[in-house]
Amino acid sequence: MTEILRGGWIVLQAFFTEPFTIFYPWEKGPLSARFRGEHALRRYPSGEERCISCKLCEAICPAQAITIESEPREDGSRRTVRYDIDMTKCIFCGLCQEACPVDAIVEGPNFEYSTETREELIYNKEKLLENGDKWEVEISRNIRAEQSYR
Amino acid sequence: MFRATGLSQKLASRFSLFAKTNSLKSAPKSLVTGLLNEPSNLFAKRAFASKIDNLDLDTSTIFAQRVAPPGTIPDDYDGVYVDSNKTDNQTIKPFTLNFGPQHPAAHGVLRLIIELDGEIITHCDPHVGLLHRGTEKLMEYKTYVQALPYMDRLDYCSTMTNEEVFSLSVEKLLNIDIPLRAKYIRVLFAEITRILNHLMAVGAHVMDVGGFTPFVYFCEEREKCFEFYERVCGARMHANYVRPGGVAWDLPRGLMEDIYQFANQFPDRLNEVEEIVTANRIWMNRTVDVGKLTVQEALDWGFTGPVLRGSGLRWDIRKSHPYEVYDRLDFDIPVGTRGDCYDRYLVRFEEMRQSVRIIKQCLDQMPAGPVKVDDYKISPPPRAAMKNDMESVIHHFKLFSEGYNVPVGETYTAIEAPKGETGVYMVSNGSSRPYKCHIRAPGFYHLGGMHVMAKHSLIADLVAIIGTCDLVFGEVDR
Amino acid sequence: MLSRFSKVAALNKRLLGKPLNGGFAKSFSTSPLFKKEIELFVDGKSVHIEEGSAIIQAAEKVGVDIPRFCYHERLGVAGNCRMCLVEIEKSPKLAASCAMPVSPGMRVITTSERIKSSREAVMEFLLSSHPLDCPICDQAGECDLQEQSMRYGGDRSRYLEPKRAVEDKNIGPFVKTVMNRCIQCTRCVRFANEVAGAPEFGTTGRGNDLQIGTYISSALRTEMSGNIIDLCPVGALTSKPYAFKARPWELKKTESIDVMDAIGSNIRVDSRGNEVMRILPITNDEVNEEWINDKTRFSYDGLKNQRLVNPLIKVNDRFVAATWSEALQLIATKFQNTSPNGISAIAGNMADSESLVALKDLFNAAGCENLKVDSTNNSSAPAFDIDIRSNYLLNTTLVGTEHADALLIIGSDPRHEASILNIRIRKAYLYNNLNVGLIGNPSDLTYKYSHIGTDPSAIDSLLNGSHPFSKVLAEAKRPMILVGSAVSELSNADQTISKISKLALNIPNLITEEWNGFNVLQNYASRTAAYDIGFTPNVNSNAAASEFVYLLGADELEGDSSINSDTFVVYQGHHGDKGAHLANVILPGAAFTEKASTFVNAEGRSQVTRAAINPPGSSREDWQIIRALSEFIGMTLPYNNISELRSRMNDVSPTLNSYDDSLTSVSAEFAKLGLKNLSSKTGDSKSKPASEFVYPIKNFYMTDPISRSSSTMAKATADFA
Repeated sequence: MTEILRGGWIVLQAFFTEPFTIFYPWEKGPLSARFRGEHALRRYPSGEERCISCKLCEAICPAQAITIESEPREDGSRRTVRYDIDMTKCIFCGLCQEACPVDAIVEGPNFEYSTETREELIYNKEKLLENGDKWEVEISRNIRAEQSYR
Repeated sequence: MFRATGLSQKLASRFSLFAKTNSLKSAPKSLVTGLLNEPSNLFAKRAFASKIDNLDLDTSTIFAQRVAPPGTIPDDYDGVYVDSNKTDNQTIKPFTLNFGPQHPAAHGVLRLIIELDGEIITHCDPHVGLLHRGTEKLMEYKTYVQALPYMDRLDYCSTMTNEEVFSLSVEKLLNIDIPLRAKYIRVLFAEITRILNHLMAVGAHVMDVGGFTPFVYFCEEREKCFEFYERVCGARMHANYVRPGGVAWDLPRGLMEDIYQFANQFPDRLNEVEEIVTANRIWMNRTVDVGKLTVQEALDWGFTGPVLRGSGLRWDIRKSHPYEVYDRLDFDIPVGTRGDCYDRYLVRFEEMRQSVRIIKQCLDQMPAGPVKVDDYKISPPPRAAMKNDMESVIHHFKLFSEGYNVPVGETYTAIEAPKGETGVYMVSNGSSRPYKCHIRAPGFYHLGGMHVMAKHSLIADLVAIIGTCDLVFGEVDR
Repeated sequence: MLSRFSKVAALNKRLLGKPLNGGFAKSFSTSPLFKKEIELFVDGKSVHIEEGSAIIQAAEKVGVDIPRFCYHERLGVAGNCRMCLVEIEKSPKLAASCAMPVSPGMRVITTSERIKSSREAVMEFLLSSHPLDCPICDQAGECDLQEQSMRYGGDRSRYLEPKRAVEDKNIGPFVKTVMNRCIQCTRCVRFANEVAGAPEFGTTGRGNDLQIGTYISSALRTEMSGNIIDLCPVGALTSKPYAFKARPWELKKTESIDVMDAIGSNIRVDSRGNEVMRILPITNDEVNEEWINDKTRFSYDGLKNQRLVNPLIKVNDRFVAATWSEALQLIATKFQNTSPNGISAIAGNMADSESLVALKDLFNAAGCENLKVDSTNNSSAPAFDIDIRSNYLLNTTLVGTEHADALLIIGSDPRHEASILNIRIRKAYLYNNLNVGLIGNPSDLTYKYSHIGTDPSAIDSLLNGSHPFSKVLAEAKRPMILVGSAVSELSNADQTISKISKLALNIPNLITEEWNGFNVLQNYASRTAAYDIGFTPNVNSNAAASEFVYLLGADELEGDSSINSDTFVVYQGHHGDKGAHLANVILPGAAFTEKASTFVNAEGRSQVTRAAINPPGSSREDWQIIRALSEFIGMTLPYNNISELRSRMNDVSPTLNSYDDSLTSVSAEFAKLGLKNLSSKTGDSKSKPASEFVYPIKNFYMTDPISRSSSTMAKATADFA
């Protein structure tokens, strides 16, 4: 019988210790600078979009979630016309952000972007750029913190 | 190490509600009345099952049995005989129960067809493939770096060890040696992975048997390990971190300190749960002498890992064919004696403690140095170089578009993954994609040998046995 | 690049003087330049190769790969990249294998520590002045520099200094230049100067200041300018219309045949999804070597514009979309209600052989022989008398043209009508002392020629020997006459052709057992097949306006008097061009990139296109439309799938199905017989004598519905007009 009581004592102790549960959404778990979350397309500080349509991210994506079509822009530079990421295919492996030579596509720190329809989860270029603008401060802070490791 | 040898008998003798009767003469004529009067002493149930053929019964009145033609059924088969060449029209098929894919104790998607004799299992037949995702075929169409996330998702409770076996096999084909620091980091995270896996396995096992508390306690410990994963690679579970050529990035500052803190407090958490579970009579009633597996049977049916060690064989690939830096590290291998679920549970528990030992040694011995092989034709150059250097740009581009070409060859590389021996049989045809990548998943073979362990158990025991096999269907079905 | 033959076989053919008329059963005598064979050892393997070859050719023959940038087998040797260095036993210095001739017993080593470090060093030097453009460069993924750097070069750089920059040159609407990336291999310069005949392209400056361009800021004015895009090993010269569009790993590659002219260049159609992204050449030593002209290469964007995607019926001057059954039913009713004399068909210039055979069968089943090709004078039998095949083919073949030593061009502009043939003629001019005479409008053909005259009377001067060129022709061992097919469209075609054939019969060596120098150059991909099939009007057929005209992709319709406001016109084609505007019912067919079809080229070689993409909207393959129509009409054609149709084609003419890359040539006897028939034609005495030969191609860049719909071709017309 003693072992049952001993076990019971452990549980009783646990009853009186502070629980580990965090009160999401008011408290959130810790995230590091390397966290791979929602994608974003970044810009240069001047406002010019970074993506030069090299298609390395499209080539490396294991899930083939990225679709790119590109054309010369009026000023002759190389830019995308279409840049879609199908978030329902994406496996969040981070290979696209490793592949990007100009740090255009990144996986930002956001993980709370659930939608009510599946269509909304197919991000097009506009949505990604918007994300980028919204999260730029945190993303660039993360990139600066990670620079020396990459 | 806690040994359960004499304790069960002692407990049994103290707590059996009825006197154990070994006398057969008092057995009633009818099996049904026999069941009612038979003592409910659980420890005697083995003897009861084997009493069937000792009973002085006219079996032809109970089952429409036929004696099987000589030589067709082995001598130690004591199930129900059914003759296919029926001379009259009566035949009884065994009663099958579908332990279906939707089941809280079915550890994923497991469909077990159980053939029952009353409540005693005579055979169980797993129907697998419900989580089959075509992993091996898909990997043939991806480059080696793109194929790595597939390995993550096989045994999704122990992600980095799957990546490790894949990386080791590719490194063998590439014929490269990775830096020492990379090896230490891999071992460090392999042991964290072992802890993760065993926490899940033991927690889920105890939960299936009925004790819900350890599971949630262990989930908190897993959360701490997930935090380490996330800090090192960015994702809590599917890491994409251990790559052919080393590891993807170096450990961030402060991580080793935190792992040390974790390793210090972890044995206390284990002690707490051990207090609740290990000596618990309910637990022992449910797991001692359940799912017994002899060493010979285990070897015959391809069992490896804690299941094999629980049966008594001292076999651990980390000791017999050391890979990475396991030959420099000091650790013990827990081995069971009786080959039942209880021993396997104890083996896993003790392995967690040994993992903590290994983790502390890795932290102490961690050398400075690069974490990737220095050849930019295999591992991509650092981004600073890629932005300034022509050759680095070219190599970065070619590695991320075409991938490195692996010389022609084939290898079977196996490691001691938390569940057992996970192996990868990789065939390369000289291109940048694997020609064939077969994955030897330990859970597959454990499931295949389930009927050996589950013979003559009750359904409740079956749940304990499934838990002890530590099945994760990501790797069983791939 | 893909190659139909191995490079070894190709080299053999060139170097060992293979037969002049490919595929002839007779032995090859009078082959020129048969050099002695010697033996050497490359990496221990023994190679037998003719004297005078370079080591790199010997290595290729035996299967050893030597990396190179500037060496190209079809261009002269430059030897400036130094990547092909190999070690020769008993020689202190490494030798450039592209420039070093073989000698007997030479022992060559292509891999050793010394060579490995030399290759690394060469790569390091090349990359030290190369910009970090890989992500934005179009050549990335198929770049020689990238691949050789991965395989032979180092993995990091030691270069910290600033890199040199070079200005970009504007050389036309086709080729985009980023001269920072140029590694000065001079392949483009050698191509432009030697093969294409555009000497304005060259190098300026020396050493680090060497720049490639035209120097005088002019465009590269040659119809073969697109080939320098393929030649350039780096991304310095890339395709302007294709700029930034796709990466090579996304593209699906389909081998096909070009139909913009009658040469039938072998092309590779690269497509992504359902869109053609670009067209590249395939090596075929017997047809187009490795080159294609700019129209072939760049007019693919016309495949997206002006497409017919739905069956349309004209209702009160407007086209209304209809279903297939409605359209076909309407046509069938009209067809059945018209007498056999009142129906006629005109085969367009890109019609494939399958649909030609099907249409002919359908019309013949209805008892009609009013089948015409899309040219002027098409209501009478072709002037070239198609009963004997050699009367309308390029009998000398493209390969044979290189071996000619005298050429008389009559009424043809080979540079624009068949650029590949022009390249061959230029080759013969450069290496074989070809003497060229031209009767027709003088223009720049990229080689020198003696201008004999501009109108058919010049032929008389050759016939009576008054012009010195007649002596050249008489003394030549392999003379050639090239008659443009536009000659058959002259008003006095018969007389002219009769004169030409008399001239041909007078030239002693023109037609011998091994050599047939009489050539007629067709301009359109469907013409030879149409003649092979016999898609021409009967003597009794009706040249006047028909009541029912079936246009099978016919869009030129010059001088065609059969269509007037009462005619019921059916147009089956893929673009909404002239023919579609005249139509009462439009049936959308498939373009050449969207169907598997057979085309016979000017030499008589039948080749197959393959479908790279799906036809848009409701379009169907052309022969299937005709087969469906036949069911509606009630005269169902007896074939239900492509194999049955192809065996029918075989019955009609076995030359349509010879896919083994051999040419069936006409024997000398029959060729002479054919010429005799031609020479005895007197023609219509009422026709006026034509004053000058008229070239059929006014604008090289817009000659067919596809190129007319192409914006790239429009830009080229604007730039080069």
